[in-house]
Amino acid sequence: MAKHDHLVALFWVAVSIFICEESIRLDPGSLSNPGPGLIPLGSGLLLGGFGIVLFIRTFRARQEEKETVSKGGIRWQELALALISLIGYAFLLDYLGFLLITLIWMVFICRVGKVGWKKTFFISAVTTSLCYILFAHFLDIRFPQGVFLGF
Amino acid sequence: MDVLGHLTLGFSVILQWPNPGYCFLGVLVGTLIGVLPGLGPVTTIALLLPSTYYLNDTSAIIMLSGVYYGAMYGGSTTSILVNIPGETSSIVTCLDGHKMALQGRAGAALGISAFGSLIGGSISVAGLMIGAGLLAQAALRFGPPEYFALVFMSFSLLIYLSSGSPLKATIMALVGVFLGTIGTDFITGEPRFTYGSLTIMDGIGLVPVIMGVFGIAEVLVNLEGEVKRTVIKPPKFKNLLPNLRDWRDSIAPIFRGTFIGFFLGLLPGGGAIMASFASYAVEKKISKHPEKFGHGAIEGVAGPETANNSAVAACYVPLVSFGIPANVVMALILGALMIHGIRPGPTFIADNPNLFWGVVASMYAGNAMLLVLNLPLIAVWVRLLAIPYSILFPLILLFCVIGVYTIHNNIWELVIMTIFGFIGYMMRKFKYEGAPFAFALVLTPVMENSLRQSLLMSEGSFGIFFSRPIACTLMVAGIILFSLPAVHLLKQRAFGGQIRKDQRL
Repeated sequence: MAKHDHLVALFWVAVSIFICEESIRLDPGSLSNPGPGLIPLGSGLLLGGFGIVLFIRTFRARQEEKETVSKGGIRWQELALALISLIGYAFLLDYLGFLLITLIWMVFICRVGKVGWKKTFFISAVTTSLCYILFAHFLDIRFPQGVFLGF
Repeated sequence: MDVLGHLTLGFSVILQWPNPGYCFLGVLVGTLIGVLPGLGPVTTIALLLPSTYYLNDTSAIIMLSGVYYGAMYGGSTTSILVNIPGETSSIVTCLDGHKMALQGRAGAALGISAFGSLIGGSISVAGLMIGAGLLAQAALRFGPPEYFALVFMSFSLLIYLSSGSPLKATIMALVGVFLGTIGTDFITGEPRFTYGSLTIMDGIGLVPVIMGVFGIAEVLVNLEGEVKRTVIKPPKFKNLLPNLRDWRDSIAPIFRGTFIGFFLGLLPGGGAIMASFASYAVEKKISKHPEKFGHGAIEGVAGPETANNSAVAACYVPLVSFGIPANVVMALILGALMIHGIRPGPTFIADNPNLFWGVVASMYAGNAMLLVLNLPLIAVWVRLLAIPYSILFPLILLFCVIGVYTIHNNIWELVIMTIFGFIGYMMRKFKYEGAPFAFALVLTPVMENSLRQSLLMSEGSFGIFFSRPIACTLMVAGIILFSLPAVHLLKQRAFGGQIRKDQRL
């Protein structure tokens, strides 16, 4: 991933500009009377400075050596499926209830990991049940009941 | 200092039910996660953090501590038998431990690893008992400038000791500082970067961030391809006991590893990983037969495995004396203490004797339990290694989800965890380390508080950090450490030498 370091450096510079703008809006105060924006402003300025240094270093590094393509790039499909499923779990948890959404989600995530169907259903059912018993009964944690199953 | 009297108090605490149970549970879970890939002590302790709401403070810290040093024991099992480190601190054990196993000496490797860990762990607990008290006395002389200087030096040391690029580690620390400011300003009460969200009004939340960056991200990276594992059959129990020659070759590395581990465990950014690498390097350097290392030298197992356990107890010293965590695990232990309304610092030991001495005594008890768990029950742990990762990872993800949700029953914290899971994944891909980021996130409130108070005291002059002896010493040390990578590079360029990849900024 070395060949993309210069883009990441520019990303940090952009983030630092955002942080500095918002920090000034918060009022950094003065050194003798520091305000709420002082530390964020300081971190933003330093982040921007080091981002620029990284950008320059990355350029020099690219000139000095041949770039090698790193093995194992980003597997976007699995990454997206796993992350979207977690977001979906979060938003459907209250609506479907813990038991139903956990069962569905476990089936989905096992399939993302290419687990066979029989193992998927077995693992999903057993894990969901055990987690419910452990957390809801032994640790007395209240899980959402959902509109369908009501338990 | 009546150490024996306090230790007696500690043992009376650890023998009171349910403390022995929680100690055993902690070391059992620790060994389990040490053996299994995918879950480390950081993620596991973050996962267990919400459940400590339901425990008393002593039981909670005893259990979480057991997880930490239990993981050090468990990690060596997979390193030796499978050549895959169960924990990062057991990476070097693969070099010689697995070679010993291939030569039919798995028993000696496992045995010396367990006994070395017991010896190192026990001696360093003694160091904790004495060192914490002494440092706590020194910490009473610390004011805001000294605390800021200590945090600055800690950041510098962490960045200097980072295994990757110091420049990237610095950037991660600065991002952590910024995220640490999100929430309500503690002086003016003004919300910062919350944009009306109630979820982050008290800050972004350590547990969702840690679970995302270390837990979810680890799973996402491991999903890319399962490493094939060939497990060497574990030896019978009678073959696990090292013979006289093994002891003769290992006793000096064990004692050296104990002191290396203790010293490095004291340092912010040091800890078990650094200790094990340093011990291996020292043993190889001073050995009369360095060519044996990497081919089954028992010294290459004894020293590092002792050092990583010894570092665990040492990590507690800065936490209980100054309230400054030495690494991410200690930051989570700090979180657990704060859940119970306890803020560690110079008066922590005096104000909470049952808690401190109970935890100290639990480390002795826990190390003894681990010897029993790791040697006679080795075959049980080996069976777990046969579980394919395709079955483990959904369980890990589910535990992360439940762990975060149970903090405040807030689905937005699950969203935060997911976002940081993506960020953590990208950090790994672009070779940014998580430790400086997490460290900065935890220490920013202390750093900001001490900096703003110092500037108020000095009416805006930074000279206050250099006019007080302790603060000045720490600031100068921090500046030197921070500048060292750049100085090395400039020297190389000036003398026209070839710059190694690991010397790049």
